Amino acid sequence: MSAPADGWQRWLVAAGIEPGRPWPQRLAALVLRPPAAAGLATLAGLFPQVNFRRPRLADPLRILLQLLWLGLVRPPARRPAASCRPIPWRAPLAAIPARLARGWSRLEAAVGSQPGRLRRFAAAEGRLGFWDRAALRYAAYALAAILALLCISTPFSTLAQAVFVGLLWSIALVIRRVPGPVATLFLIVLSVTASSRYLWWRVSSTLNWDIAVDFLWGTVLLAAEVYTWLILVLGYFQTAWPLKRQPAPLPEDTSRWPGVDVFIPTYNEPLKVVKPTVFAAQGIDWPADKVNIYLLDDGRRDEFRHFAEEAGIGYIVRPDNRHAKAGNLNHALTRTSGEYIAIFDCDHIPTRSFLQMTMGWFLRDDKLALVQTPHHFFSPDPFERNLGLFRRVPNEGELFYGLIQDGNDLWNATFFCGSCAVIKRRPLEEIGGIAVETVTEDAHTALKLQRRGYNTAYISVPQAAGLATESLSAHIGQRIRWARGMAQIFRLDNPYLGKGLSLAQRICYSNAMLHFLNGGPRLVFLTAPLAFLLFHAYVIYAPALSVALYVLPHMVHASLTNSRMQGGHRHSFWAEVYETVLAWYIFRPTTVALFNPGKGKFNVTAKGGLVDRNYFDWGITWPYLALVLANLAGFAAGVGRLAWGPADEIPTTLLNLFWTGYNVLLLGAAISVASEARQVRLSHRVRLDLPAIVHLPGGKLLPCRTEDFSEGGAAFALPAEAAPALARDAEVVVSLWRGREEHAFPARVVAAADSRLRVRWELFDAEQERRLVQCTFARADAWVSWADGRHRDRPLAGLREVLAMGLTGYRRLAEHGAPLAAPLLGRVGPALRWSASLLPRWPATYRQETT
Amino acid sequence: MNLVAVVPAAGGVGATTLAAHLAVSLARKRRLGAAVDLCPGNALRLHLGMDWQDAAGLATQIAAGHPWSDGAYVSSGGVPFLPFGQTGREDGGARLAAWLETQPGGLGGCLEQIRLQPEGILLADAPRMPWQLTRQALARADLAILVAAPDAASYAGLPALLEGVAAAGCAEARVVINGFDPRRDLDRDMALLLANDPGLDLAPVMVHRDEAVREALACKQTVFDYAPSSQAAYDFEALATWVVARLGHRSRQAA
Repeated sequence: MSAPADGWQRWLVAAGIEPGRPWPQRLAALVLRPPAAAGLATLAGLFPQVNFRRPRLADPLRILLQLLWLGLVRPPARRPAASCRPIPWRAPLAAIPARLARGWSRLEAAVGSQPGRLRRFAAAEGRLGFWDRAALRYAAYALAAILALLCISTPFSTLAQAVFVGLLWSIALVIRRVPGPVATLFLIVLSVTASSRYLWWRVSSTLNWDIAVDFLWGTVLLAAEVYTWLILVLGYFQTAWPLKRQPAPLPEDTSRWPGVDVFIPTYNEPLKVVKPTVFAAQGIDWPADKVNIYLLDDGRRDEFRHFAEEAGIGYIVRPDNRHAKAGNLNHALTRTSGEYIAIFDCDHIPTRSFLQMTMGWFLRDDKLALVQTPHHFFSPDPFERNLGLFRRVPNEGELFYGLIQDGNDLWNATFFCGSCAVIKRRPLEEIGGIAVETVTEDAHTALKLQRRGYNTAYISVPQAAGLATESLSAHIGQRIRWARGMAQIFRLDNPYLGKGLSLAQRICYSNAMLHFLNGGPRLVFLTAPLAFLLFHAYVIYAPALSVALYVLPHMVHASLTNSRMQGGHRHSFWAEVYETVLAWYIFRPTTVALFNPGKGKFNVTAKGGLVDRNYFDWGITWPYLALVLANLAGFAAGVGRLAWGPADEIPTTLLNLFWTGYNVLLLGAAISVASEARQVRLSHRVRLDLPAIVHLPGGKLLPCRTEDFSEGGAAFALPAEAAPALARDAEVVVSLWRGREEHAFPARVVAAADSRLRVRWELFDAEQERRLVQCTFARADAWVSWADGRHRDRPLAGLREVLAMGLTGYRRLAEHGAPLAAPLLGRVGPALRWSASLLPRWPATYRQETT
Repeated sequence: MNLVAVVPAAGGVGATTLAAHLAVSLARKRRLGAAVDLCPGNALRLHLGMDWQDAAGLATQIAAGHPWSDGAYVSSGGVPFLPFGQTGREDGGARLAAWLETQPGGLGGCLEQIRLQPEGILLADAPRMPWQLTRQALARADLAILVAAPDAASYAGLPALLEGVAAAGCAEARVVINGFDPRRDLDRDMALLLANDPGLDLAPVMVHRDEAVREALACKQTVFDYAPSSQAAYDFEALATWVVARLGHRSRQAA
């Protein structure tokens, strides 16, 4: 069909009639339809927002608006239906990259027409080895540094800066389309340029030395910005080129495989949490005479002793609890003798392939002292649960385990994370066992190992999975411990000082520690606009336009580059939410630890509990509520200033209002997390597609797939035509596989509807529990496809989602805090939806062809 | 034409059931499966829907002096098959074997006369007794499927059977477990034992004990018609796929 030109033809297309046909046919098409469809279908096509079968009061208004819209607005251009999805060029910029791409291909053609010269140049470079000569290399570095300094420090007029950032941005948009790590490096260069230029400008020309208050506020903000810049640049360095190490194969001859002790430390966790870990550890594929499992019980509980005896594993206790987990592990070191030590927190269930995936590198590299694998969580953390993000948006830990550790690995700076890792005994004993000086014994142990010249490695394949922290308060408690411990290491054993580390290792370690100091700067950013709005202090002493021209490129480039580097592991703007939630709580302990590293004790992360009702954690939220109130006051003051203040301050006021508004929404998202959603069941259902057989009463067998499973039960998708009629509580048996071994588990029907069967396990002995764990949680492939079906990160979509979450936070706040006002607030959503239903939209005929 | 001999390791392990279902499954895969019953029990035909009263078949045709090929049938599912025939004599098998030995090429020569396409697969449901018949089938077979139940009787019978298969000159013999029930400890243990026994090759597919199989026979059907979404149907399907792959692999090796 050709694109219709004028208004009435658009109506025809919308009604599903070909406008190119002669008049009589068009009339016939209108009239000669199946009777019921004739009128209604045409109208329904024209007015998709109106339901003609159920007319509503505002429908005339909708129809009127739609007619005006169809008559006045040009429809989107039609594209032929394509078999593959076209690249979604950003609409306003569509022309620029397209033209640039054409220019690029012309350039390529020009270069390509002289392949001889290029090849000769490359060959000459290879022969002469320019890059192997230190002098030349350093000369090139120096030249680049001088040019960069020029680029960063040259003062520009406003117009020149506008042109400059415009160019930077255009280049970034083109480079962004190029896949591969080299283009990423290029984007990093652009981002560092924009950010450094911003910082230089801030230091050199935005501080007001004349007014003490302005200067004070300005310096505090500047310090926070310097910190952010440092973390940004160090982060780029750390993750510029993730190693993505593959597992090394083991020798064919299993007699050459070394002996391993598996340590499972526990303190106060219930046996129910520990059991699956022990069962799974017993199923790890390794020669039986070369693996010993030990339960290290700091709780000294009889129940655990009996369980260990029954299960046939070692049980180690000690007289005191000195140094908590680190002390527990160190004590076990003295009682065992395996050449390697695998450590699992008592709730981290290992897969059967754990040792075979990790041990290969030890046999290749004699100096290797540690192999770490990711911590994977099959239950939602408080962010995921309270915000409804589970398996949709990468969780907080994924950035670290998906990207940062892989980036560290390139620089031989992988950290020990306390669990899901293998350590070689000899180097560990050389440094005096697990470090006990700080509350983050794991990272400190790795640092000590690396100071001794030992290597560490990271394999980014989830080989164990556990429970995430249950409630926000527990989550914050855990992060406080990490933050405090990292600050302690920074003071007691600073990676920049002392012997034994390469520069890259020092940078990676220090970045990990500095990262936890973000509480203070985050609080500064959350309050900075108030300095102007409430106290009229010019924290950035510059016209609003200049501020925008410098700060926007800094933010846009950082978002663009980070989205590309981290997109698979953290969606844009979520870091803001995570940091905002923690800011207040880690600010104090890190500051204290920096000044007095001796203070602070180890607290165990509570897991396996149950949030048994919906509630709002007021105790945790009050700092954010205070910040919200302050920001709202600032907002009100700003609006007042717009109305009654001097005209030349309007741009600055607008800028600060915008900033405050963003802060308010960010705080709303943080508040949203504190609204704890009730958990229904104690054992978490894990969605996983496994083959299974249901043995029906009467001896018939039905092959099917699991929809999800847990320690308590499972759900199956049955073929619809064969779904049996099963009564509640009917006894069935379920077959699952562990490799090629098939095991049967008795169960009872909980619900059987349509093609879905839900059962709960009725296991009668420990042996069956062991087999069930080994057939489910401990499968080698259990966690591999966890992130399948997730959307790719898009920075603007991330921003929108975070801001929407902010609005949700205030709605929940009202629901819990002012139940009387809640109904009123509850009307806001429907009211917005109703208003949106009035808006005109493109009829289906256009939508189908243009999406 | 490929000939696959299905031989039981012990009595009552379900070799005939397995042969019938393999033939039907292969036919459904457009692999031109066909079956011939060499067991004097004459039970194969029941799976394929033949009339209980009809006594015709290979042995009866020969005993009556008719061309044996006149005893062939096609099941409603489109599977050509040759029943043994209701001879009513105890030594029916031995007499057939004796007659076949008088023919050029023996049983193999006769089966060659069936004009199956080159990629077609003929399943021979071979008995343990009389062995002469089975030996003739094995001599021509491209693959022998030794059907074992996951129990001690089958396990005890397998070594002798394997020797016999090798002596008959069959190129490849694979053991298939039939009637596996994961709820029974012995079944799981026997499956592990057979899988780890270096003396025999276990096929990667095993057939579960599924009530649908017995019910299907009671209705003179295969599970493909009686309970198409049952585990047994799934298993036989998988076994047929494995047989096709196995024969393809062998013919590639030969080429």
